Amino acid sequence: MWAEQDFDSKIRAALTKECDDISASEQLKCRIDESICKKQAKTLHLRTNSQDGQEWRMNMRHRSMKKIGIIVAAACLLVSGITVVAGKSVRINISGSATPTYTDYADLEKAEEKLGYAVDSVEQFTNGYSFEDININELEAYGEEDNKLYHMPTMQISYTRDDKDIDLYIQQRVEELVISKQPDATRTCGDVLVRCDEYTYKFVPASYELTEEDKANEQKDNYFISYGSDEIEITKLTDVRWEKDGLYYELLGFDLDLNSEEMLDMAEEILMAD
Amino acid sequence: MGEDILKEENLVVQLKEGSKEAFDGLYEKYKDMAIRTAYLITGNLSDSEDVTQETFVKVWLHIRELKNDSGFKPWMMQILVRTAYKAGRKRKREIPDDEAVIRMENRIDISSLDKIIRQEEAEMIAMAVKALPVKLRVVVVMHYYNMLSVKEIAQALGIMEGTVKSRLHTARKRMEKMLVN
Repeated sequence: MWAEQDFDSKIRAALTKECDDISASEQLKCRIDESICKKQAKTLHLRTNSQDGQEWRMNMRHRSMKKIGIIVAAACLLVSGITVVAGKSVRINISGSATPTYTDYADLEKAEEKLGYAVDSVEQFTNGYSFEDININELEAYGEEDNKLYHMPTMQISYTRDDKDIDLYIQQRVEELVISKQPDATRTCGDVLVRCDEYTYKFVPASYELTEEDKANEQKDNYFISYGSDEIEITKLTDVRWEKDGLYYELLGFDLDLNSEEMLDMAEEILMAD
Repeated sequence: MGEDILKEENLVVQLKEGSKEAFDGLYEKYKDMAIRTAYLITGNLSDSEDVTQETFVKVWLHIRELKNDSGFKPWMMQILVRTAYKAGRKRKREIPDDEAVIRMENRIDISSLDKIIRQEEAEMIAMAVKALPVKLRVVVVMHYYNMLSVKEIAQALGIMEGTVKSRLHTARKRMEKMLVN
């Protein structure tokens, strides 16, 4: 009925016409920048102390080495950065694919096979957060002299509700984590102690001058200022972590619509899912 | 053209070093192509914005995994179509949505019968594409809109070239059938 070449050109023209009045809005760029800022708080922010010149870095010019150590000890254990284990500084680098490893919860067993051990998790939380995807990443740890200490696969399970995301990171316990900050809330589930911490990140442009209030906030162990953003943005990170059967679990999200107790409820659901 | 490629390669190198300006440059270059491709795959404006957002965030986070600095576009397309495929599959929208109808009604400057006929034909073809199952729709959009070769589509989707050809053939036949009916 249609000549092949004619039909091909008609499809091409029809598709072009169908979308030629669509363009990316200014708001979309803002959303992308905001999302990147939040992701950076989990990853790039913590790479600042890297000795690798190619490492991406936020320009945290006003930070001392000591402060960075505290930041990392207080923030995410299972994402890239410098952490403090057994009193020593360890650089953690995590690499993964831009596309999810698995998008079906039924593939959890395959993911566990890749990891080499079974994990606690749920497909859906009672508060409505539901499974999005699983990523298997490769973790590499380097010592103070940039010597490779160990490497291992780690798992990241993402959950979503409306426009909010929560990630569950799981990895094998290697050494004891030092956390100087007092937890904001704790809960004991069986013989497992779960702690919840809340942190505030203020992203500012490189030219930003600290106010007196900023300087006072910087002294707190749950408030961090990070340079390199286009605009000033304040974001809140909620971080719940526990250790069970030789595995570290960390559940975290940004600007969540949940309080500490509700986050601890989610952790308890994971623990009870065993 | 060669200058463009060189400029893009430079942006990729700078982006790998963490340059926000380089990221903004690449975003400006590809933002409309990205959102339009996402729209054609998901059939939904809201989803296409989400897909574009997720794609560029992944670009920022994973750029260092791009081995070939001159291969930014196919690499970004791979992320985009996989993200859009996921969104399209989740939404399972296989019929034209209200947004598309509203947008069609808003089209302007139809001044002749010939234009109306050509426009209607284009709209029918676009609707036939939207009515395809998402796995067929993705290859149609990549081939006819993004002008990617069978080989490039196979690489982006992680499937065999024969599978791409088969899907294109099936899609074409289904569309012909829909348009005849």
